[in-house]
Amino acid sequence: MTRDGSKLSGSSATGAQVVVRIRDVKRIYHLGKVEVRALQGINLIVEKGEFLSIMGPSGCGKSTLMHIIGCLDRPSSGHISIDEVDVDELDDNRLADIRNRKVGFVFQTFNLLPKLNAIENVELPLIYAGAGFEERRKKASELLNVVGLNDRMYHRPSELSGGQSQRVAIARALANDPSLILADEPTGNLDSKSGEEIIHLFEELNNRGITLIIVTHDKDIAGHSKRIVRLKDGLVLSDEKIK
Amino acid sequence: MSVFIWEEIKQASRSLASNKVRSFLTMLGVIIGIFSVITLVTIGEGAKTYITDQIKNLGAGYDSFILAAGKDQNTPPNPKFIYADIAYFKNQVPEIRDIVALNPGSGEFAYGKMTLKASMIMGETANAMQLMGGSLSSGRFFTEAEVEGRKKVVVIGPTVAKTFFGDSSPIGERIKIRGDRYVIIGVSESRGSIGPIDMDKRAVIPITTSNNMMGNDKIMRFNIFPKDIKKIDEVEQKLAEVVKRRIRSDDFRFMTQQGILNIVNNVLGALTGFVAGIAAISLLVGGIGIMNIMLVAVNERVREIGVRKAIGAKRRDIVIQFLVESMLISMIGGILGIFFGLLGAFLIIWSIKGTLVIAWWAVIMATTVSAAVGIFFGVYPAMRAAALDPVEALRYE
Ligand SMILES: Nc1ncnc2c1ncn2[C@@H]1O[C@H](COP(=O)(O)OP(=O)(O)O)[C@@H](O)[C@H]1O
Ligand SMILES: [Mg+2]
Repeated sequence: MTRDGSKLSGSSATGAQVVVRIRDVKRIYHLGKVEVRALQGINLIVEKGEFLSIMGPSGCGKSTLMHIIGCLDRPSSGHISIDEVDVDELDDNRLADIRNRKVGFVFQTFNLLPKLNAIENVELPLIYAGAGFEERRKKASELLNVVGLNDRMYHRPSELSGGQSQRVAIARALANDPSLILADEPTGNLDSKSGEEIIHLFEELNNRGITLIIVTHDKDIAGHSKRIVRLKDGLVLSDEKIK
Repeated sequence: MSVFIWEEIKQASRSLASNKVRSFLTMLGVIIGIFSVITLVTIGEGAKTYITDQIKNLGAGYDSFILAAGKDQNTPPNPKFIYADIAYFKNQVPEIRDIVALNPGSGEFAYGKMTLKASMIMGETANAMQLMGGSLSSGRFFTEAEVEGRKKVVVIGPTVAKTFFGDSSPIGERIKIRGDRYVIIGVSESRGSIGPIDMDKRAVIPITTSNNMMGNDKIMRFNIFPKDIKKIDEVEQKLAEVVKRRIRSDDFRFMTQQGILNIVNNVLGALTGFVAGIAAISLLVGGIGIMNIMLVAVNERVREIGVRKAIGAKRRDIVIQFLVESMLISMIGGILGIFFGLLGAFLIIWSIKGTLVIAWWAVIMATTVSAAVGIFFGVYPAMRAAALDPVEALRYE
């Protein structure tokens, strides 16, 4: 079954709230005179509450797509909206706001700031959102509780294991109550046990109604999600609901 | 926004603290630049106060000017003025209200077996105390009759009185000055030191008597009091002609408080210009050093910048982050420079027994300039950081 966003407008087929709407998105890199067509026309709709895995061989454009959904990058052509806001039309400052408030990014390499401790890392998106100290501390410690790190709040990233670091990163992604969490190979740098724990955490978050998109190579990891989209050569190869 | 700035300052200080040696070396240019300016300005202000005091000590307030023997300060004077010139000048230049004549000298005071060596002896006219300030704690100043009569009377400073007579009154007692007996007729009020001269360890005698003592009839210096101080230049000009005719020479000079201060200011101005030049160069070099280290910092933190952008930092936020850091380096350097500059100036001024005058305008200017250096040279690295593409930045190893 293939979903084709271009044929749909307004609401999705199921009538649920649309979080991500991608229509014919292309992304072309120019390396000198060579054109790299990383995305060749992607159509995708993600509804609120979905838990979606993106799979595909290395270099098929998964990260490029995640960056575009996460508003870190812009499509060369096509349209994308987050919460029905056409983000391809926004200027850099508004895009930064979307990144700050609407999406939470989780990276393969955690990307915590080494000089800040766990709670300060979680507070960072709240600082950029303009929250005051008290509010930030309260929210950040709640979130570290949610990811099960209430006893590691004042540890630096260098004092945390990979799994713990990724939990901090997830708490940080949740800081501004985003509509969407994006995780690009979140278990790629973790041993299988820690990977399992992270995916369980994602399931738990999804059960609480948080929309998730993860990129993974791991079939077992993908098996925990509700829908798998496979990419190949910058195109959607298949899109199946598994739960 | 203020919360945000505070957060930025906190994080910037941490990042500077984690690289203490590097931060300090980066500050060095600013430290040296600010240090040299603050030292010079502070010493300059001290020198001005010192010199103003000295001029006051010569008795030239803003209501008079000095006519002294000798073309300039450096050649030993060969005075051609005599006591009778006072009446002559007043007669020739009616714009003159009054003239005080002064002959500084020094010698030993003695009372019984007690002596005070190398003390100051001032020969003065009877109007000196009234016109040039100062007052007596007991007794009286000498009269014109005593001056005319070349009497051996003396007004002593409180230190002299205390040394020789303790708490009992010295009035009417006799002391020896350079071997001659003088009757003490007055004790002056304590004035402390003006510049290096101890005003309390002096003896003031009639100027004619001092002529006798020195074995000549020459006068070193007059303090001229014009009727209208606004016409000081006019009076000076007119008097110059009269003096030239009278002594058939131009071996004399005028000094006004303002004139001397102008010379001091000119010298200080030239010196300040020179040091400001050096300071400007070291601030420039320091600024370039800051720019350089900030570019290194940006390079080291490309990934961090990517992360910050990914979680919602705007261009402006990144710019502020790096500007705060460069400004902090520069301002800490500036504050250290101010501290060491004041310390250096204090040590120098203290060693010459001057008084420390902190030029607050210079301190405020130095702080502002160092902040400005940090901002100016931080802008380019900060803009580069802010312009980084988030995806590229996150990919950076
Ligand atoms: N900045 C870039 N410049 C040029 N080519 C790029 C750039 N980023 C990615 N690509 C290319 O785009 C394609 C898709 O990359 P990516 O999205 O990272 O793949 P994946 O994450 O699925 O492994 C690859 O061929 C990659 O080499
Ligand atoms: Mg990838």
